[in-house]
Amino acid sequence: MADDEHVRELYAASAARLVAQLYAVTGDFGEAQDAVHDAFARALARPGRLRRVDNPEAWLRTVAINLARSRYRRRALFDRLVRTGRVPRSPVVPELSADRIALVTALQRLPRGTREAIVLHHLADLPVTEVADVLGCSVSAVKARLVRGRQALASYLGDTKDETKELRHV
Amino acid sequence: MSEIDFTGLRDDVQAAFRPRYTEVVRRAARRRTRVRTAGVTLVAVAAAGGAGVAAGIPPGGSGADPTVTPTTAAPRAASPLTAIAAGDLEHLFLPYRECAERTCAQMLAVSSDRGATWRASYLPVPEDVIVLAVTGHGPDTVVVYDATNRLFVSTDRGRSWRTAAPRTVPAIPDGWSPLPAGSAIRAIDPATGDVVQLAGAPRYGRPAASVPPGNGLWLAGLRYDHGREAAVAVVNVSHDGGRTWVGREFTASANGGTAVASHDGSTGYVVVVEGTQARVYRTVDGGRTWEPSTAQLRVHVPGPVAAAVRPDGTLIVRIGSTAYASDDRGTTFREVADGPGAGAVWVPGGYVESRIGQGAWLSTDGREWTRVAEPSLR
Repeated sequence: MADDEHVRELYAASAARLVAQLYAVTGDFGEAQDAVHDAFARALARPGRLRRVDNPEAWLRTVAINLARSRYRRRALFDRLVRTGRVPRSPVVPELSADRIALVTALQRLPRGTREAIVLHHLADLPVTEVADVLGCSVSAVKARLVRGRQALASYLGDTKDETKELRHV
Repeated sequence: MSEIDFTGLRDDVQAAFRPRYTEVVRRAARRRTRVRTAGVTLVAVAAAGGAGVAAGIPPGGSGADPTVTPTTAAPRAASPLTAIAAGDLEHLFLPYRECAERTCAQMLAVSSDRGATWRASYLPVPEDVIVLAVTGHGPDTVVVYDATNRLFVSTDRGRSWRTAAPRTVPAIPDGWSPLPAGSAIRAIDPATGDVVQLAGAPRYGRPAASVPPGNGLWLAGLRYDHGREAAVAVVNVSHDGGRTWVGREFTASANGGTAVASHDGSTGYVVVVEGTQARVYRTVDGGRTWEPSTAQLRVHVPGPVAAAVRPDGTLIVRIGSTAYASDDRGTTFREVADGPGAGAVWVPGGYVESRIGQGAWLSTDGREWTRVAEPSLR
């Protein structure tokens, strides 16, 4: 199979999965797609490189996560430099049900390292040892992040008792 | 601590993704240009298929294929939050975000004349709460879903609102409309705005939106086994408002999808992606028994799966950006131009299909469609 065809087949098989993982990490569907498409673009620009890795999807995931991290850092720096008056940026939200978006929103409240551990283990189905490799930390650190992360998410997503009340008229 | 549905999140986001390999090709070409020295020509790479759902008019085909008639295009609304929702073929709703200086507000655009004119009102959520979705139920009732899992209901087209307080019931009452909830199945009374939540609902799937009320609840979803090594399509059908269910499982592929459809509540279809092919299964007894079709649909580029049965019995299936139609109860299929149909939502008077940023398509019969562009509101 030609290298270009290999990248296209890989896109067909894994792009949706990777976008789901990056969306859970970034909280922005547009950014997730950008990061994944840029990762595939890097592979396509030099298609032979994927032949040299054992797990092309894992390579693409790592590239996409790194791209998302660097964009976040640049944007955070820019936000600090720009004077007040900047309109808050609205994240792109896909067509999902309320509870799905609630979970993604809750994930964004976690520290980034905890969020990435949760996503890699629960959405990407990586074993703890592999999550530790990806994040560059110990297995025990990953386990601690997973426990804390799940507890925090459960707290954020806890049932609320709705009260019927009149809201403002327009 | 109740279980957090990571699997459901993953499934739904994957289903929302529209493959765009041409975007990868474009970015790769731009990247190659940046790293090359001046004087080297840009290499054009042939674009692959699967560029997402087309919004244009399909080429002239047989009378059985859906046709799309565009209206005069209106300027797009600034920052729509979701796709257009419809309470019926006349009443449309579109949430959007409007920013001025340092303040942003979440608004609702409302039309009572098929999108010819719109008016705006504020949505009843604080600025920092994300509006996730809006659904319409009849001419007057609108539901807004926010990121904290609350529902806001209006029964006067957005003029006044109240927070919903769902009560748990053993069965959804007749005439109530299922809501696009996640793990819970909820329904609303379009007349009063009261909301109920079904006790003991199946875990996978949400009620198929193309099935007219009174013809049962048809659910299909994927269950992943063995750490995503394998997947199973789980189908459940209820003909008593969700009190009892008949279920069936079908082998699927981990990166595939599934959809279920019925029009009359007796004949129904399940589409299950298995690798590069999709299988179709048919029931004629309301989901109690299923038989496989001999047809296999080719999956050109994996993507979301949608299916709907038109009132004339035609089954429309869309996998990614490829659409198929069957006029013989799923025995044979022909590839058709992509357009509205497979993702149709039943509303009083007909069907609606919409895409965020692309407007909506309205139809009385699921065959002939008229497009409504998104409004421009100031």
